[in-house]
Amino acid sequence: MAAREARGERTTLGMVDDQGRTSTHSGLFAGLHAHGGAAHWHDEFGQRAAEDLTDEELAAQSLDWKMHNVQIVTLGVDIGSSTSHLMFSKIYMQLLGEGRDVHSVVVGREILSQSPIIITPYRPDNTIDTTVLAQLVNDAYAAVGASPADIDSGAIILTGEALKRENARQIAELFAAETGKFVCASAGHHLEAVLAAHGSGTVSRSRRDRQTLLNVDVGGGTTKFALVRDGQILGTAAIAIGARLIVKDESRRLTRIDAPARVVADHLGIRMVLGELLAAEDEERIVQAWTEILAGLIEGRPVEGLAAELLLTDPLPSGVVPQAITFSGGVSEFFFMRESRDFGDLGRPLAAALRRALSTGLIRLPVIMDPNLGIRATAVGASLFTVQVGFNLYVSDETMLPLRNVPVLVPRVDLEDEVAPARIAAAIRESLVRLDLADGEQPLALAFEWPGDLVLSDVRALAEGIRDGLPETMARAVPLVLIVDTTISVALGRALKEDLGIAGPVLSLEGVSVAEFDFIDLAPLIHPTEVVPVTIKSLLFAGGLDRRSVKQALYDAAMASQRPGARES
Amino acid sequence: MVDATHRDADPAREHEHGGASNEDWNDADFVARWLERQAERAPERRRQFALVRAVIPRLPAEEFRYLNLGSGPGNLDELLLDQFAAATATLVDFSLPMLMAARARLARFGDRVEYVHANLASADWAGGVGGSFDVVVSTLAVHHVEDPRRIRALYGEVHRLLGHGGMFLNLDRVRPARPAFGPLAAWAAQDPEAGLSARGHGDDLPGTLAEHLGWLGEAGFGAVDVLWKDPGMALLCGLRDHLHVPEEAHAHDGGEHAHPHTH
Repeated sequence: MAAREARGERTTLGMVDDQGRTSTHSGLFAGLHAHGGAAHWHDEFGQRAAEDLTDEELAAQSLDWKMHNVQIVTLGVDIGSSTSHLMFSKIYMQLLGEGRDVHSVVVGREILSQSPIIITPYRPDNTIDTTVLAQLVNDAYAAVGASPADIDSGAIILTGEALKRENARQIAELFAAETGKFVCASAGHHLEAVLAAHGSGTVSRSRRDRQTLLNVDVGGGTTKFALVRDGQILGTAAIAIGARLIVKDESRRLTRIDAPARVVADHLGIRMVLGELLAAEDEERIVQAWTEILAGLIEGRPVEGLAAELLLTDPLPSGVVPQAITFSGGVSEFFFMRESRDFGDLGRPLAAALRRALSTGLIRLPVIMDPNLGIRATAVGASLFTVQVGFNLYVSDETMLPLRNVPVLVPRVDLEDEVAPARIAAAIRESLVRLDLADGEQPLALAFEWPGDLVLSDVRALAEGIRDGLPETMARAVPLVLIVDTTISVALGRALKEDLGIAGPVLSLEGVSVAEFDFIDLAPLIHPTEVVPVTIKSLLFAGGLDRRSVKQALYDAAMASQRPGARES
Repeated sequence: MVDATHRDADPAREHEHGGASNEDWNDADFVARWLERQAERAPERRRQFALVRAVIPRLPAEEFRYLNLGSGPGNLDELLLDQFAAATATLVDFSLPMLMAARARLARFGDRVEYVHANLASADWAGGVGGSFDVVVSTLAVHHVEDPRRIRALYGEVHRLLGHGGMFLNLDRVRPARPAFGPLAAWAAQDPEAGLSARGHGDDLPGTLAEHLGWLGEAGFGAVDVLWKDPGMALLCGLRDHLHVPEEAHAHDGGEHAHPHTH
């Protein structure tokens, strides 16, 4: 994922029309454009208008600008256990390179409109009340005078309770009109931590400044940690500490006590009963216990006792000391004093206790203040899907196409020295954990970088690793897509389907450049050219679009376009 | 641990709040009251900040990146970011409410400013700021570190954060070389035409001017100098290597490129 954000993605079709006009839905949104036009924005990033150019030169410059710049409107929707919100953004992309090696880089983002943050509504049976959500969505469209047709792309991120099957299905129906343009990502603990690290700008900052940073996303039900070095996520973890595990009414009577809060209360000998008062000193003790646990995790102290009991995942990798921390999530709004209202939960006191922890030295690491969006620091949408063409195909069964919204896994395994099936299988399992995906639950796309020539025994070993890494996909005959970057695509598909005899359909192709966290749509096969159009949708994050990041991204993209074939993951 | 990023040039006031603890500086109400009182001293502060602005050898449209150690509420940064329209800033302070005040003040500069909460009393702060800087500035903050050994280490940390041709500007209170220089300052201030400050106090400050210059040299600064001096206060400058100064004609060619203080 990081790679795409940093150096842009290859793109081909549909971005600039034959008149040199950019494809954009500026009509309804034009009035919301705060900067007075994209040209002004472009100027901000260095290519200043030269006063001494002739009219012809200016016209040529303007045409050149249009040819290389794209604007799209995207909608980000976050639906979590505690809060939900929507955000319309205009995304500016710049095209670099030529022909098949054109890359686009996201160089700017402008928030067109944000919905208010609402407490996610529930029905009495504890399912999410999608009627109220639908109202939020409609209000948000109405507020900008837009309709779903005005949106170029979007992303729906479901977390926590929203992930539950019935909730997810109903939420998906809300966005039925946008199907095809939207990415729908279900985020468990790991992906949530990753999303927060991207959204808060921590990943891009870490890459830009070559820093090791820890993003701490303190939310309603959980706190997520992501350890990031030089823009790479080294590890993620989550613990059941969050502002809305305990909720009171105006008279301090308890209206919600979640199980993890009871664990802490029991540990401290505090009795909590729904409908009864929570004494201020008891609240303080719970908040203090939470803060000490969070400080311990931040400072890398051993995880034991109550902390171990509340931990929801494996702990963060030991031995990597962050240089600084960043905060995101709902509680960071209080931490950074952007919010002061009392929502009846423990958000405000928890933030105050965390601030105290900084001044007393309980947390010693520097804190980089989030210049971005705090609670809104998740996905702002998806980049304009770029259409690429997969060729050199192996397809076991054409009826497996079309496929929609297929998540891309990029297993971190070096095939340079030895192609060992066990290592490949382990890397596939790790990538499933990173994306909170379950093997066999949905079609998957696996991308591999093949280092050298076609050696059939090695291709066979890779096929074995894939088979062993996805036992459920094999058992349930779920469609599998393989994306490779050299001429092994046919041999790999054949090895899996024909030599190893796996049950499900297989499509293996090359010519498509993807990164982890991309989602792809695969269209039916085109005859007789025997190619498959692949639409790539990349999640787009709020963070990391400050000037220095943009310059770095443009530079990296320019460098990358001089090294065709090189690819990061 | 000391609060290492707060400054107060007024000894009387400092005495008054000498007991301010780390927690106080992270208390929003305490900081709000402190900021209110600071408003009285705006003209004096503004002159001090203008001194720092004046000696930064950059053209108004030139891109560069600076770090402000102990930024407080961002008054200096407002001056610098207005003057140097293409500069980007990283502000470090130990007080979260102070950084929040800075963020409110500097909101119009958007992503040109980054904010880091860190304590200069520990070397950890440097990990939070990331990257190299063209200029590091600090006003009335370093003396709060108190421990001379820590200040010497801090100068080394600053040196390592500066890029090629980098410059460190530290406007801070310094201890009189002899206690008797304190009364001399008060004596000299009686001649109004000389315009000298009476503030020569500060026998408990961590270093004399000569000591600070020595520490900067030890830290690796190839050239160190005093760009301005008042009784009790000095603007120290350390150069990482060479010093490039734009031609005066460019800096003062009138119109939008002129220094504001030349108007």
